[in-house]
Amino acid sequence: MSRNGSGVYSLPASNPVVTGTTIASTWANNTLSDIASALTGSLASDGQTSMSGNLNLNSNKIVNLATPTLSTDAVTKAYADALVGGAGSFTTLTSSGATTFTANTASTSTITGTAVITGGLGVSGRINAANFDGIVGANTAAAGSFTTLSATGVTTVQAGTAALPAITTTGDTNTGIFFSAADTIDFTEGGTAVGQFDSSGNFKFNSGYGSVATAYGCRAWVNFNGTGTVAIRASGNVSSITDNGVGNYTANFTIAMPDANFCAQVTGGDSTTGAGGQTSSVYSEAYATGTIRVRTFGVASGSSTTLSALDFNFVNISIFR
Amino acid sequence: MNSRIIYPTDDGVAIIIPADCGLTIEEIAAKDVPQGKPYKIVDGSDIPTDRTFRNAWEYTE
Repeated sequence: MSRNGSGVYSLPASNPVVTGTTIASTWANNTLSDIASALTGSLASDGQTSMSGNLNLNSNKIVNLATPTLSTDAVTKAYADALVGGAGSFTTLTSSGATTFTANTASTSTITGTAVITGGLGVSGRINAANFDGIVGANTAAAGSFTTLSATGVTTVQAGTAALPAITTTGDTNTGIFFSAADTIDFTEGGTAVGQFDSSGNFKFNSGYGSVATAYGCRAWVNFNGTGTVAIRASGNVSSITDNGVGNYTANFTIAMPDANFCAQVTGGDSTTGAGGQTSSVYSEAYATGTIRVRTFGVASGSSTTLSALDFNFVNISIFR
Repeated sequence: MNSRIIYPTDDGVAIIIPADCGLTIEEIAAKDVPQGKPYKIVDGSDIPTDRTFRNAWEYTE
């Protein structure tokens, strides 16, 4: 075969024949044999021969292809466009089996615009979304459950009712928190309202009251020893007590009352002198927003029955407002 | 807090016993000593435990 490697065929030696030369059988046989060999190695247009090497089209096209039918058939541009919808985009992508999309780990794959998934979307990694609209999970508890919900912004829930509180727990959905009105937080147990912070900040609950009612808490309290080394045993919202003299003490509130019309409960006694167990008296005076003064009187051991100022080793003051 | 705050009164001396309320002794003094009254912060052990003559105690500078 006399192709030169670039596809150019050249006649064998003794060609061309000089005019007037007698053509011998040897020349004819050699030349025709070389041509026959070259034709055999060429591509027949009727498809009898197949390629024995790569087909180099040198930037030319294969045109007028038939629609492919076999997995080894070449495809036309029209056929490929029908699959992917044209230049790089597609309108319908259908998978008949498990489909895996492997993104480039070195960069971020992005969907711009709105993608609607009508079936389920299984995500083994993290969904990194600037905005997330719609329902998390399906409408069943099992499919819609998650172990940790972390929100860095405001989380809003429905108002709910006593029977169906907005914030509740699995398996006990009639117990939880709901919001019966503006600026109001409610608590429910077994579908019955049991507590409420109303719009004025009042705390109401049903602790044997028979209904949810405002609870008035103790605003300050102190239990102290008024004898010997005067000392506070325990207290709440009291910054100090002032020992003004015998049987004369002032309780100073850490946070002042809104006015001086609070209710003071004062009790006391002295187990060492018998005051309190016998005749004794305590009373309160000098009501101020930040302080109240209490006096303790008793019959000192061994004295007459006349009451006089007396230190008590137990003095208890409770303030309600 | 074993400190005490003492200040003079018309009848003698008042002694403030601080509670465990989260305030410092200085903050309690600023809040609970009547305005304008001089005061001193002393150790609780400096206060007599015998109160027999409590009403006769006096404040000294």
